[in-house]
Formats: sequence, structure tokens, C-alpha cells
Amino acid sequence: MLEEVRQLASVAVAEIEAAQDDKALEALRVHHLGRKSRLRQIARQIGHLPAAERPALGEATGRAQQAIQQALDDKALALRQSAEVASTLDVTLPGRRPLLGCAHPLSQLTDELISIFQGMGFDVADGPEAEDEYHNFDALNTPADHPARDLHDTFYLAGGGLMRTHTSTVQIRVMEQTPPPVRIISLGRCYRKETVDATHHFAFHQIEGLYVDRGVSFADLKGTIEAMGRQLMGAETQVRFRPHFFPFTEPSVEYDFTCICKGQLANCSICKGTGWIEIAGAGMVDPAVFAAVGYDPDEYTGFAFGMGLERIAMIRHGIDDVRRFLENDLRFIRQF
Amino acid sequence: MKITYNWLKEYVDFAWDWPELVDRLTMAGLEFEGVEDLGARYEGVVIGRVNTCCPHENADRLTVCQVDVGTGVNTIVCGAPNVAAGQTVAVALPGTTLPGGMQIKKAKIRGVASEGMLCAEDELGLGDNHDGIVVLDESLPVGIPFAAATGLGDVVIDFEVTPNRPDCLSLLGIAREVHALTGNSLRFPNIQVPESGPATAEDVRIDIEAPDDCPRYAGRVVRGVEVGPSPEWLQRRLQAVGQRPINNIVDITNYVLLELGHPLHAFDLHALDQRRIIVRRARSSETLETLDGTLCQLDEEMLVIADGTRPQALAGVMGGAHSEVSTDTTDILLESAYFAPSRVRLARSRLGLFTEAATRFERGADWDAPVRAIDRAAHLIAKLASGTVAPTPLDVYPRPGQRRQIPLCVERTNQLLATELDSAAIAQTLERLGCRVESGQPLVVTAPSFRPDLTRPADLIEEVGRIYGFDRIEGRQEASGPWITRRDPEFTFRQVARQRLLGLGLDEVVSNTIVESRWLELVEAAGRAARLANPPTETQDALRTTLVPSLLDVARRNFNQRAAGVAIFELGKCFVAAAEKGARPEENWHLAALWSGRVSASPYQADAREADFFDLKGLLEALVGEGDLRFTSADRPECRSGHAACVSVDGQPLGWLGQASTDLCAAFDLERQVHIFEISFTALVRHWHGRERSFTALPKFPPIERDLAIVVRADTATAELIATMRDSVPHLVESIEVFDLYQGDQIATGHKSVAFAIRLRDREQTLQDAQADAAISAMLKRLKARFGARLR
Repeated sequence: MLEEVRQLASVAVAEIEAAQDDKALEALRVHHLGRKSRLRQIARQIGHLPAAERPALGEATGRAQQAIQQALDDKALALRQSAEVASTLDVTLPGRRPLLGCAHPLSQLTDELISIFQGMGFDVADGPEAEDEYHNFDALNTPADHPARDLHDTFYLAGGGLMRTHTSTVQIRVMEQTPPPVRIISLGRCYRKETVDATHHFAFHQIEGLYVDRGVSFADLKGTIEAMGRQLMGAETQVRFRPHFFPFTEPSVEYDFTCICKGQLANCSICKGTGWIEIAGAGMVDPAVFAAVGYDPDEYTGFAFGMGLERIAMIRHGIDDVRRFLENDLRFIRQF
Repeated sequence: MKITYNWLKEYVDFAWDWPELVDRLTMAGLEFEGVEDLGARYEGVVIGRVNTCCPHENADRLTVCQVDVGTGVNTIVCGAPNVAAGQTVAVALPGTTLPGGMQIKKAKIRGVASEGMLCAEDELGLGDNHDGIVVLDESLPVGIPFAAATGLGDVVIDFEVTPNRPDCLSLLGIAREVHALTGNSLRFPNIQVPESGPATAEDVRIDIEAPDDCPRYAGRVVRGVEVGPSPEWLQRRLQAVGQRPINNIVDITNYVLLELGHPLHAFDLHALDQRRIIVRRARSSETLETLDGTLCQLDEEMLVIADGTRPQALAGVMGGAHSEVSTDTTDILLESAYFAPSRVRLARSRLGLFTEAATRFERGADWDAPVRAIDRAAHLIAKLASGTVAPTPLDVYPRPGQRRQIPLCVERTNQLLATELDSAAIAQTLERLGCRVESGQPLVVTAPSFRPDLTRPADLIEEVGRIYGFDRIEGRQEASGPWITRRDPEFTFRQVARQRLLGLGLDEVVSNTIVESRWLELVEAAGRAARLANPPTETQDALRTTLVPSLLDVARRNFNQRAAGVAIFELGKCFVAAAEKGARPEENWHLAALWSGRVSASPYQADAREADFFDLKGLLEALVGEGDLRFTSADRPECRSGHAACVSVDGQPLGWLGQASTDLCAAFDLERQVHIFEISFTALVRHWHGRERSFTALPKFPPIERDLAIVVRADTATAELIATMRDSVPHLVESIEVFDLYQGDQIATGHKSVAFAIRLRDREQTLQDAQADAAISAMLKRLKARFGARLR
């Protein structure tokens, strides 16, 4: 029997070494070391043998078992290693990517402006887009025969009222409801009856800002616009104020930002070589506007400003056509 | 307003070149529109002196000249008969392109190399004369550019003038701005009227029947005028600023308008019936043929200048053809009036006319200027058209203008502008602008008659600020003023909603609020829509009541561009017409999403299925988050029957979800299944805002999980099965999830098998298997009783 045990071990080791995969290896384990294996049968018989033979046979079966187990372990390891070598990943294959949506560029700018102005203590206010003449014109010191009231500039509603032509309406609505001081921005859509082309659309977006308090001066307006300009267009940005005219501010200015070309490009497509980009209008709130909302113009002063969002987005991203914003071609939206 | 650089210099001195002039005036409020360098057309043409002249050996009519052009002496072959040694001439050097388009090159002419050309009038674009070369003043220095030497090198500058500044629609007005900026003195145009003959009043009678519309009307007769072309300098000036010369009389009225800013009109005196001028409202049946040849239908709100029988001019807008000055005219009546801005504007806009005169009158002309302007014109007519000016202009002035006195507080000025100006500096600025200033506290400022925009202290503060220079005021960046203490949750939640949907893979779109009525009809929402009275296009005339058609349109656009899938949302305003007339439409924020086409962007081992109802439903559930979100089967006009649901949250309506109907898809050329939800954003905000966010202790005892598969009728709502199971053992159910749904061979027809993964937990103690078994039995018993469910 001793000889048989040795034989079993060497056969088993040879067979194990020849095994091709884990499955064959498992079958060999069962065959050679399982409960029904010959080796186990022999081991169970040891107790029945004469005492003198037991130690030798016991030792032999133990060694055989160890040898087979060792062979199995070695082979399993070898198989695992060879399997691992064979299954090298192509790490350059694409990932299974969950989609992340893209925010519309105008919304991105809106979010950014809200964050800029909240940092400066401005609250956010909202107002209706379908307005009345009073809030869009009269209260903003725009007399009845002002050119802006001509039918070709404003959309009128069939049932009365009009689509607001600027976000300045929100100034009035806020001041009507809030005693001074107030410091708000408002963002939203405005409408003007324009022929649609690459630089005009009848629907566009604006931001409006208003700060009314005791002692608000032109320097506060300038500082605020400068701070906005630097956050929006870069820390180097300079702001230029040119006198202008708006019925609801006095003094009124238009403000320009320095161009991203820094005036270095004679044929710059944005500033035409002037070095300045015309941005929007601003000014100190006209006393007539305060009178309309019941603020005391002798006690309070304030500034207001507006800005078109499309224009800023077009400058910042180099967008060539204002119509892109409302077209919603996803190949456009996904660029931002 | 177009001016020329040299013309402006007639009224004020300044040391700036044109770019600096433009810059200074821009910073004072005149916006630069454009520039045209008149000298540029003479680039390459210089002053030359003819040293010698010899006949050409090979040509009888040609002369070979040695011409000093400053940089050297050029040999130039010339064909003009008048060329002679010693002449000062205009030489076009090789490489030059002349105004007429002729290109000058070095060339051999009959064997003689010629370096340039001596120019004739027509070649320089100065006239039609080609008889000979232009011979210039011999004092001109040789070699300097022709344009600079002759004053033809002027620069035309175009400024945009804001509507509050009619005074700047004139050379003198702009010169006054330069005066205010520099302090250099202002030169007023020369007015010397040589009068003779009978007085104006003997020839013409002027009556104003509408003094509120026409507070002032001045007239002056000039007799014996010779109507003909204006002198060249006058024509050239008018042309430079874009006006067409007509004849000397009309050109002079236009010139004075540009110079002083006051519109004038010249009538042929003999065309005026009864030699009368009556300023009155038009009669409703009256017509007027204006100078441009159009026949205007007048109405009673329009102001006209009539003679004894009929209108001869539309007051402040345009003259009539009948009394137009022509070459036959000998005696004229010059009109110089002040018309009420609103009256001019009304007629101008009703008749769709845009004239230089109307532009000035409707913004507010200078009520003090009429006599000065008429005299300036008379002065020029006497000089340039040989007219004899009748003494004493008629000045009918029923409503004299009042100069406004405005108190101005120096401290207030400095506070508003953040400046530290003393009262003398403020007074000086205002005086330079034409104000009279009485010192004191406050200053008393009398505004000039040509500044209708100066009525209040704020208007004066603006003047002080802009002349001082807004650029010199330092911006202040210091926090002060109120804190934000109460923030509208709506703004925060707009960002939350958008961020969630973006994170869930939807792209954001922003679409038009003004839509085609047809779009709203497709979803049976047109009836509630507010309409525009003057829409951008005939069909695009409604304010959207829903976002759905807009999203379908975006889907169409993108599928046309071969998108594999479109997953988009919009958070935007919708409008509902007000029930009561004249009230503003109701405005509501809606949130809508559309999903169509492939669910996954990546083709590699990804889910290649098309998005379905449950993809979008899952998205809506993820967006809303915690809460009792319920879906109830519903019929909707937008949706395929049996594929739509009403959605509520916490028992309140939220919106709907469904598959767009075939008809609706067809209307937008969509071939694939399209799923949409639209919810009231206000309702969502109410839900989010109202939700309590308090902590619940984490469970201490382990759960037991069981699966349960049952067979029920196919039309049984799964939500009801789950609700029934929960109700059976309310305190033990932690969650019930559907994990399988089967209909097919192994199940009876009209039935389905639903399998649930149930998690039970007792929060107070460890749950025992026996309790779990009992709970499942209780559920099954209820399901059997209510739905006839069988265990599968």
C-alpha cells in the first residue's frame, strides 16, 4: 500500500500540472483529495492495519496529501497568473459615461451675475414681462410723445398693456413696494419690435441694477460697474463712462469696457480697433422717478444701470449671431 | 449730425487734431458715429512748380515739363494747352489713384518717360472742366499735399446726438461744447443786413390762428433775388455733410440750419395768395403736395402754413411744391418760426416724413433764435444771390418764451457727483454752456433758450459732471447700505431645479415666449393665450401658455441636425390672458422636459434603447425628490391615449407626464416616440419650500427582506398594490420595490405577474422570522381580497 500511495501522489501531481483551467483543476481536486478519492479510502483503512504498519502508511498518506495540495495550489496560482496576463484591459476604450447636461449660456451668465451682485449686497427681484404703460414708460419719466413709444418699437398686447422694453420696470415695482434703502438686481426677458438679424432680436435679456439710499453718489455707481466689469471680463478690465441720455437717469452715461484685444488690434472684430466695447447704460436715478414712486428726492439719491446679456455672452464667447441663443441647437449649447 | 473739422474751426479755436476732437466730444456726450477724410481722395497729389516747358519732339500737342515736386524734379509729359513755366500746379505722382478713378503710373509717352500727371479740374473731381490744368496760387509751398494746401483736405465727422440735445444739431452748438471744454471764445456768425425798399409788412401779412402750436413766427421779404447755383464753397460744404445743393436760396436756408440749428423756409412770395401767411390747423379735406412731390392728406390735428386760400407748407416739417423757390422766383418770403414739438412730431409721424427741420422742432428748437436766423439768411442772400432785403422783419410772437430760473445747491452737486468743486467752477462751466448764473446759496441759474432739457437742478448737475469729466470721478468700492435679510426662495430653487436636471443629463434650452398661435392650437391651449396687437410676424402672435410646442420645435431642429437623442428642459415663463379686459396677463413659471431617441450618449456597451415613459418618470421623481409624488392615469390633448398621467405632490396638482400624440409629433416632423412632462414651477417651489428637513434617528435593529411575486389582472395599478401592502402592516414596512413584471405564456391571458422586494423592520426590537412571515401573509390576504391576487 505504501507503494500505491506514492504512485497515487505522483500520478495526481502529474495530472494537476497538466490541467488547463480552474474547472479541470477542481475535478482533479475532487478526484484525488475528495471524500471518495482513493487516498482518502486508504487513509480511512489505516486504523484497521496492524499497529506497526500504521505510522509509515500514515506518514506516507499525509505527505501525499500535502504534495497534491501543494500541486493544486501552485497550479491554481499559475492558472490565475496566466489568466491575468491574458486579460489586460484596453484602458483607452471609452468609459460608459452618464450624460451631464449643459446649461444654456444665458442662464450661466444669469447665475454668474446673481453671484457677483449678491457678493456686493444686491438682492434679486423679479417683475412681469407683460407690463402696463405706466411702469414701462410714465413712471420712468418717458413722456407720452417719446420716440420709444412709437408702435414700431414696442409690442402691444391685444387686450391692453405691452411687453416690457427694458427691465427698468422692476425698479418701479420694487420701489413702489419697498421703502428705501433698496439694492436690487433683476434679470429677465425684454421685447422690442426689431427686425431679427445677426445683431438684433425682438426678444432679449437684460440685467437691471438699482441702489437707492441716503448719500449714494456717482462714485458708487462707478465702483459697482467697475467691480462687475472686472469679475465678468477679467481683473484688468477698465471702465469708461460717457455722458448719454436716458429719461429715467440724470446724469446718464453709457459705459464701455476695455476690449479683450486691449486696443492692440486695429481690425479687432469686437471693438473695431477703438480698444473700448460699448456695454450699456447707467446713471443717477432721475428725481422724477423718485416722485413717481413716492421717494423723497431731497433725502435719497440712487443709481441704476442696465446691461444686455446677449451682448456680454457674445463678446465673452465670440458668438457671431444673436439668433443662436433662442434657436437652441444643442451643438451650440453644449459648447459652453 | 455731420460737421467738418475746418467748418467747426470757424466758430471756435481748438488745438486738437480730429481724433482728439472726437475723443473729447465723445467724453462730453456726443457719440462718434463715423469719419470721412475728404483729403484721402487726394492721396499722392502734391503741389508742384513747372520749371521749364518744352514741346515734345514726337507730338505736336504735347509738352515735356520739368516739374519741381518737392522731393525732386520730375519729367512730366502734359497735353494741356494752358501749361506754362512758372505755374503752380497739382501733380499726381506715380502710384496715385485720382478721385475719378484714373491710375497714374510711370509711362513712356511717345518715347519720353513721364513721371506723373498735371491735373485738370475734372480729374481731381472738382468740376467738369477739362480744358486745361488747374493753376493754383503761386504762394503755395512746393511738395506739400494738395488737399492740405487747398483746404480740400477737410475731415467730415458724424456725431450721434441724443434726443435731449437739439442744440447740438448745429455747428454752433457743437462749437459751444468745445468752448465749454476749452474756455476758448465762441465766434458767432457775421450778421449785417443791408436793408432797402418797402418794409416786409407792406408786402405780406402774417396771422397766427393757433398760438399754442406756433408761439412765434417771423418773416422777412427779400426782393430781386437771382436764383442760381450756390458758390462752390457753399456747395462743397453742403455736399461734405451729406446734403444735395439745389439753388442758392434753398442752399442758404439749409446752411443756416446747419450753422445755427434753426430751420428756415423760403416761399416764392408771388405764389402766396393774397400775400398772406396764416398759421392754422389744417382742415380735414385739405391736401398738400410737399417739396418731395408726395400728396399729403392733412387732418385737423396738423399745423399748416397757409396763404389766403390753402396750405403752402406743413409747419416745421416740409414746404409745399406750389410756393417752392424756382429759377423764375424773384421775390421771396423767408420764414423762421418756433413750432410746438408735439405738434410737429404728430404730423411728422402720421405722414411718415423725416426732415432736418422736423428733427429739430420736435426735440425743441431755440425760441429765441427766429429773428437771428432769418437775418443770417438775409445777410447771405444779399451777398450771394443779389437780393434786396426789405427792412424790419415781421415778428409775430403771441406766446413769448420764458427763461427758467433753477436753484442749484453746490453741496448737493458735489454730493451727487462725488466731486469737490467750488461754486465759481460750477458757475463757470454753466456760463460757458450759455447759462446765466447768479451767485448765492443756492446758485440761481437761468437756462438758455436753446437748452429745453435744462429745467431742474439734476439737469444742471449733469452738465457740471459731463464737462468736468465723468472719467475724473474715482469709483468707490465700499460696502454700505442694507443687508440682504429676506431672500425669495424662488430664485434659489430655480438654480436647484436647473442644477438637478443638468446633473441628470438634460440640456437646458431657452426658447421664444412669443409663439405661433397654431402651436398652441395643437395642444388645445390657444383659447387662454394673450395676443399681440402688433406681432413680429403675422403667425407669431401669441404669448405661450405652455412650453410644450417650444420643446417639440427644439427637438425637431436637433433631430434635423441628426441628433441621436434629445433630452432637454426649459424653466421659463408662460402667460395666460387675463379674464378682465385691460388687466395684465397672468405670468407663471413652468418647468418642462422632453426626452426622445437614444437614452445613452455613448454607443459603446451602452443602453441603446429609446427613451420611454419610465425614463422620464424616473427623472421627474429624481427632480422632485422626497415627497408623496402620485401619478394618475389621465387623458390629455397633447398625449397618446393611455400613455399619460396627472402628477400631484402632497395632494396638490403639480403637472403631467406622457407620450406626445402621433398628431402632435407629426406637426413637428418628429418620427420617434417623444415623452414630455410639464409642471408648475410654483407648485414645485411650494413643495420644496414647505418640506421639513428634520433628522430621523437611524434604525438600531436589522431588517428582514422578503420577495413576493403575485399574479393580478393586467389592468391593476401597481401603486395600489403597494399601497395595499403597506396598509396591511403599516408599522413594519420600510420599503417595497417592484423588481420584476411578467406577462406571457406562463400567466393567464389578461393577467400579469408582479414581483416585489419587501424590506421589513421593527424600529423598537429585532424582527423575528415568524413576524415577517405573518406580515407577508397579511399582505397576501389583503391583496387576494382586494385584487384577487394569487401567489405565483
